[in-house]
Amino acid sequence: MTQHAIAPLLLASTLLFAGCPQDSNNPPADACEQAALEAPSANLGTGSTLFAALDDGDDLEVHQGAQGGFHVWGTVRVAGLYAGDRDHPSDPSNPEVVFQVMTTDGTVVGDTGSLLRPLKVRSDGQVELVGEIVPLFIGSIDEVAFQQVTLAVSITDFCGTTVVDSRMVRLIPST
Amino acid sequence: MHIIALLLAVIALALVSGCPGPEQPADPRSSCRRCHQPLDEAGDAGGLLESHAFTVIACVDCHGGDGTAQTKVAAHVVVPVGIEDPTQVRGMSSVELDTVPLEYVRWVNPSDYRVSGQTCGKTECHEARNQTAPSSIMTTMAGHFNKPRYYVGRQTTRDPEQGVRDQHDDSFDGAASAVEDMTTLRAPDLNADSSLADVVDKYLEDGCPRCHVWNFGPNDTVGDFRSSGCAGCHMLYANDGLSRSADPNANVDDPPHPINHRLTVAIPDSQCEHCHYRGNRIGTMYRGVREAARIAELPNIHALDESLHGRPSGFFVDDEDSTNSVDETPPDVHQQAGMGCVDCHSGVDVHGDGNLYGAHDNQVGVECIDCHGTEDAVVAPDPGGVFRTSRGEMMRNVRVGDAGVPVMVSRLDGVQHPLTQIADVDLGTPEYDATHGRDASGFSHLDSMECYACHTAWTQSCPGCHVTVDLRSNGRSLIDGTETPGRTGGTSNWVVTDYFALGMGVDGMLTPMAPQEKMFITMVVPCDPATETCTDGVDTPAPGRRIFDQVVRHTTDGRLGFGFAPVVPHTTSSTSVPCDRCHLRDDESNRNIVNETLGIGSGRFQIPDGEGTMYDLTQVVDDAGVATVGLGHQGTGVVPPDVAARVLVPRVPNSGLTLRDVGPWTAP
Repeated sequence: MTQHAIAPLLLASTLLFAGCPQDSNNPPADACEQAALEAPSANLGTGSTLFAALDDGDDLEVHQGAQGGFHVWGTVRVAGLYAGDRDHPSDPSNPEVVFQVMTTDGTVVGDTGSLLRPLKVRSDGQVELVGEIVPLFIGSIDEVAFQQVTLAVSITDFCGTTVVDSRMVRLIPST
Repeated sequence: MHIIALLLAVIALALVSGCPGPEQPADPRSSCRRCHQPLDEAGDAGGLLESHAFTVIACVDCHGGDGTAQTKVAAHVVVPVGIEDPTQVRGMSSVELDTVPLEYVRWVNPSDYRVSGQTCGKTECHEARNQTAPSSIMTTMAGHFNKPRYYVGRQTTRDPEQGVRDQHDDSFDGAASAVEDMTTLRAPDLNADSSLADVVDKYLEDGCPRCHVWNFGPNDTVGDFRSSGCAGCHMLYANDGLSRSADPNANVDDPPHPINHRLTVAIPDSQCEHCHYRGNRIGTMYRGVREAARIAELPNIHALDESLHGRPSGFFVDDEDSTNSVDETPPDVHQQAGMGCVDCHSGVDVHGDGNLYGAHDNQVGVECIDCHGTEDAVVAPDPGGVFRTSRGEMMRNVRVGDAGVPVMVSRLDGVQHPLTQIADVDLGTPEYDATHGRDASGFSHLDSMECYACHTAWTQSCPGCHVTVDLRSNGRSLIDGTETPGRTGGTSNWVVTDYFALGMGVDGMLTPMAPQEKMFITMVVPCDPATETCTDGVDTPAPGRRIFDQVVRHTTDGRLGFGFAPVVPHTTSSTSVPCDRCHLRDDESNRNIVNETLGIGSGRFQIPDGEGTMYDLTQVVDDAGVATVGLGHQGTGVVPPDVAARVLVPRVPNSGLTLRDVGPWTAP
């Protein structure tokens, strides 16, 4: 997990959302115990259908949807969290996820808001969330093109464990 | 040396070995099952599902490969040079797919139309379907091209001159609105000297052909995953594109993979929605979901918490006001009853009749009266006991039920749905008599109006669209996969559910019309601030200037290139559009509402072009009642002046209907 100045802010804001574990039909009794077998971590990436790693300094494509809005793709791989239940996407025990895009002066220009999202456990054991649309609050690509921004993610699971990660990237128009 | 030898031995063993597990008896069909449908410890086969109902088909009969081989390498079709894995093929454009060796296309998807003649479409199987489906409107996508090209004057007619592929109809018989030849849409490379028609071709090529079954689509978005050819509909994909197969060798981690290896005619609506959330949005409207754009001011909407079809959480709305007990955008009554798209749409409706058409009106034949009869007659089977559509198509799932009345047996779950016969219904109210009866002069609404002209609960409409093609970035052709300058973007100006207008359909019946493609087009090219006046991105490393600035299109016959075309909203309701949507009240307080319905114009949606000329997007006729805009489908029209004059005669009670104030247009 990379460490950036934004991480504590994300952590604090997410804890405000998180509160205590809520009632749920699905989490196994030992869900938190099992999750705690690994150290909590997050590895932020991008990609609409597959995880693509992001490094600080990478370019991140801004896509324009058919309705005229703009977005980037948020993707993350995590460890040490309860993944939730993919058969029940709205189950309150699913992890709460927030992706944000911030300019260098801290202005939030993209935000998913708090989303309940079950994570996918791959057959190799990796746990990931792929292809989350992070809407940008812009009317034109020119407002953010070629700017350095921070893409950040925060995930809090049913057990109250929070992981955060962020990358400094340059936004570019999609090709 | 020992280590190297050991490694080589392990590799060699892996190459020649079969799959782990109990000894598999010789399989009469293929050795494929050793890996994909292995026996468990108890000797029971598990894993890959049988692909086809009613019959057992060997894997190699569909996929090719070698069903006698004992190793993976020998059994599988060789991956062609330049292709990393099947997933790559499942994201190719149709022209790119044409370059893939057919043996490998068949390996990845035996039902792709390039090879389906050897598989699904073999003589003893679905030959008839295979002769028509590759030229149906869901395959050619011509309906999405001919209208915009006509609106901009690239075509002088609305003939489907171009599609996603060159096609020729050997048996062309001059069918109305069909063509003998169709060529592939290819936009010229854009530059500062390009014409508006060139720009339109570019956005069509880059923006539209996601949804046709000559390819798999980009397969890059949750909610859109699918296959090509027959499997494009008949093999089901989950919205997340992940396999739920028990095949121990199936990739269950990454999209795009089908839910299971199983072909079906019980196609759920979600499968249709992989494509039909676009265009007229009938897939989402059928289940009672609208889009959220530009209604942020509505305080109590309930939105779906899922990213779908490239839209973020909150984009799709299932209730405009969650504080009341009314669903402002209810699902279609048939959906509420448990019926799916495939219960009505089968046969020629979806597979075509072999003609190269340019609009759904020509191919889709099922009518409401085919199941519900008319005011004068109930539906009945033909002498052979078969229920048929108005066009003579068999309705295989309509029959006389146990109670002796016609029923539709749902393809989804086998439930029998009694078919209400209009002739048997008489509410006995003055309103019912006025709408379904026949007056002293012999007039009946039912003679000249589609049922859904009134029995539509709501329609999503997007009046006005600002399209920008920006040559500072590249766009990727969805037809051949190449990248050329010109990234296409668009902005809907309003998304509303209460726009309602009537027009004339291809069969001479009044029908709801959609305000399609009322576009304002901009093209931006790179700009050198040292020598030129730049208008876009002036302070960025890539400034631009506008060649076209919010320009409207015009047809060659002098009409505004604003679309106006029939739409079947698929939000059927047992109740009706209020009478004062079409007819004046005593006090004529609904004049604007009626003007919007008849295309005279309400002034509700007004947008200026780049030069400041204002356009009322609800106006489609002039003072004489003649169409001023392009009509997208051949054989359709505005409400004829004599009909409009007759509509304005009766006076009806005030239903309380009001139109939503959408506010003035603001520049995106």
